[in-house]
Amino acid sequence: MIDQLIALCFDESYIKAYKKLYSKTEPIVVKQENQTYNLKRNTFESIVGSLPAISDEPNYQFERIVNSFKQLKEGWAGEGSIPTDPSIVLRSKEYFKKLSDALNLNFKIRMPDSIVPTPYGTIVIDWERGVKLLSIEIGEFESSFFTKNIDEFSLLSDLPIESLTEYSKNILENHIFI
Amino acid sequence: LTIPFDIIHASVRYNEMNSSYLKPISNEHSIKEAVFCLFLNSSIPNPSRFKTLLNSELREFQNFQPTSRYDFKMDLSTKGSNIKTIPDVGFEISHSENGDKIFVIRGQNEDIRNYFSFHILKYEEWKNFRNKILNYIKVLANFQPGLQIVAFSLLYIDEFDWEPESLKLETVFNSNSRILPRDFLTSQNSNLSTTLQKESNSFEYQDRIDLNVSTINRKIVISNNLIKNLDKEIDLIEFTDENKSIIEQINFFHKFNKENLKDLLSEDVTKLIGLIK
Repeated sequence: MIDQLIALCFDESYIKAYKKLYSKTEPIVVKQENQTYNLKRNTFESIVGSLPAISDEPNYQFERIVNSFKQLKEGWAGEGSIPTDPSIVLRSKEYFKKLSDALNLNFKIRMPDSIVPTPYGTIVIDWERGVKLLSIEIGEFESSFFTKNIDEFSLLSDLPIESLTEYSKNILENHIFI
Repeated sequence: LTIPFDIIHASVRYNEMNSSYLKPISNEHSIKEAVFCLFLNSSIPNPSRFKTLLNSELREFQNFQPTSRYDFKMDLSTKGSNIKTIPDVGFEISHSENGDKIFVIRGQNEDIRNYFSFHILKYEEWKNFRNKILNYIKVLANFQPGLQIVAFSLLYIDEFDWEPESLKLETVFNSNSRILPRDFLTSQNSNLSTTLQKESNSFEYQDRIDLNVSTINRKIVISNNLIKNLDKEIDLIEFTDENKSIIEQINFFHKFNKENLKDLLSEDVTKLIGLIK
């Protein structure tokens, strides 16, 4: 029963890991409550197993990178180039946090393949998968959304953060993170 | 267009004979993050209540974030599944400088464990970190009496990167290490994990090392988690600087992490990160 149950939920590597963990001590409890199954175990290994490290989390890594853009000076990328305004850094963090929260139910957020400041003060965030590309540009008052080799969308501009998050979530879940 | 990433890391030249430059995460040391964790024998009641601490004992923290958990449900008749969000299962309290989180306290109720964790992301000195933790534990214990500790752990994550291209691992790691297999020094893109149950003066603990070398990302990460499973549960309020036994144990973990690094790393690198003067 438990093998069938686990097989429905996880792939083979998870089944092996579960069997290894649960074969050591008391039998696993499978409780049926309105078709909900709870798998619980209080072994020492599972309690202290993998500790959360904030520095490994995408949200923290993203924030560290965009915060560093605040140190750019006038002319950092040649004549006429301007530094990234703190308000744009803040908007990009808001976007990434909202996207991360929206995605979490089905997919964990993955760090973008590139996060770059532009000479005209905006921040460009790209995710790629093969030839497919999702590119987001965050500006002070508006943002734009560009996709390549993905049918439904191409270029949308002057978007509020909420719409940008929704479009990004759609593309990432259906084309990039799959 | 190139990003001036050197604004994040200061480069340190460590070996004139080597064409590569090894860069610890900080100028003074290689500690990316240190985490002290207290595992509890019961869940933390109503974690969102802890927000009020930002107006009193934890004023130096600017941000409170409640956390939620996802419950996976399965319908055997349709073989379908859905995911339900369970709110208020934990919290994160953070202190930031220039937008970067530098100290974080988390309380978390998970399916199989409950814990408070203390994360420092701008590590300076052990005693300062230890005293901060003990002070915050006192604050949490007074706010929520009755919680008991079943285990505690101290995790250090050390990180290095290098440029421009290749790096000989023999120059970074200790060729006479008791932990490293000899083949490791001539490998590339390698992961090494060990978990050893140890005893020192009747003090039993687990020593877990995860070592990751990526020549693709040009990064070396050393995680060392030292874990103590308590023989007898103790009250959170007893985990103070007046409890000499506890202080000795956590000081031991700190020293033992240094010993592990001295064993793993070459003399040049231990000098670079200030372990040897």
